[in-house]
Amino acid sequence: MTLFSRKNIKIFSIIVILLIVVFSSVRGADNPVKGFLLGISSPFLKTSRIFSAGISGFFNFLGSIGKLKNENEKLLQDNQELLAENVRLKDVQKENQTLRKELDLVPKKDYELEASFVVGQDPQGLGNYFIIDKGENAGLKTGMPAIVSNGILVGKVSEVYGGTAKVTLVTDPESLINAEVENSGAKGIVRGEYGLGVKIDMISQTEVINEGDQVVTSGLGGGIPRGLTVGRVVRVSQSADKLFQEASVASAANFSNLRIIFIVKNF
Amino acid sequence: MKKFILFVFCLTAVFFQLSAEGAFFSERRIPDLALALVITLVVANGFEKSVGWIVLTGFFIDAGSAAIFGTTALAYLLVGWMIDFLITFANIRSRKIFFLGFLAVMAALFEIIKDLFVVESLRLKAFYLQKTFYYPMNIFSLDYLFKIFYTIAAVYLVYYIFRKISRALFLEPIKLAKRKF
Repeated sequence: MTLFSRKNIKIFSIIVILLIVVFSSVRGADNPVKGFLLGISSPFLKTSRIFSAGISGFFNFLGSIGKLKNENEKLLQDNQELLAENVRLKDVQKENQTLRKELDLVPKKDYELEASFVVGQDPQGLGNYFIIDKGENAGLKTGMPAIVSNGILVGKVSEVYGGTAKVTLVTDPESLINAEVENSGAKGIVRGEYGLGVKIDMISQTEVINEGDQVVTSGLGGGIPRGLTVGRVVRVSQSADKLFQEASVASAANFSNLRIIFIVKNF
Repeated sequence: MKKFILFVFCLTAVFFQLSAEGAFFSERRIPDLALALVITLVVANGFEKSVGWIVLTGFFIDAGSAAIFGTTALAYLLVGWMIDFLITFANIRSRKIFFLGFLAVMAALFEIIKDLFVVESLRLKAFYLQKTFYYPMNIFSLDYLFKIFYTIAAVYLVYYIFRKISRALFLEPIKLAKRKF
């Protein structure tokens, strides 16, 4: 077996070609190829995802039968509380409409949403993102926020291809979102902690934040509408340099169980 | 026919890893089905015959991954080549238990090597683009241990399925590629 055997020359050639591919993709030349491969895979990924989610859901159901009674009781109680809250909110809505009319304010617009299926996730567990089955063809653009039906922010569109796109989750360390703590109005930046959840930092020392406070998007910087739910404060601490406060946030969305997400195309 | 079946086999593994596995495993514990496929192909078919399939599988994984496009394909190719060398020098089929152990050790070892390769390439990219590097890899974490364990199980499963398909459809026993020294 010699170093310059026919087989080794063939392998070396493939390695050189792959190295060229790697270096070109660092400069961003890989997008059309990625788009093409994800485009042709998308229908299969979607079918496979739906099928496996069904099987996984069935086994989860079997495993959770014991807990169902307690959960049912809790849900009934929650339902009653929500009904009471709903009545109160309807009253607030009516008051809001009256005040808007009196102050001559334009009614708040609904978001223009694009529903999309989650068809895949990072196969190597490196990035916190999802692959969805909508892309440029559906009018998606980089930076658009992704929410679940009840206005909970889950991430932002980070890469767009023809028929697919990648949504980077709020739990990704590279995801930065302007947010505020609802009760105090304290402004900060929400960022992901690699596999550890979400935190809000850069909060001024003069602001008062408490555990349980709701964190919502502030709308600063544009791109993401104001008032989308991020989560609740679970622990308040000081930044490493003691210049700012920061807080761990429990996200309101269950990222492991997302099937359909909505992309806010316009707001 | 054989090539078509191999193509379907590779794509099935890739699609499972990209979409289906996320429904069953937490994101840090997703078994590397594609690596299991690479090991199976090299052990069963020989490295030279499998190069095309290995690179194709790597490209599909790269397309859906946070890794730099081409790095996983390159990592799988190098892994396949190393396995080929190991097979050349070790009589891995002398005993069944030795063969099963060999598959497990290869799965664990090459999973770590491949992940280190991909993560370090991302570190180089971050350095090149002067960005902060966010993807620390802890091979001693419980999540990673589970990932290795699941990958070993995946190797056995993929190898078993591949062997059954080969015998049923190609009407040929699996033989290790014999080569001259």
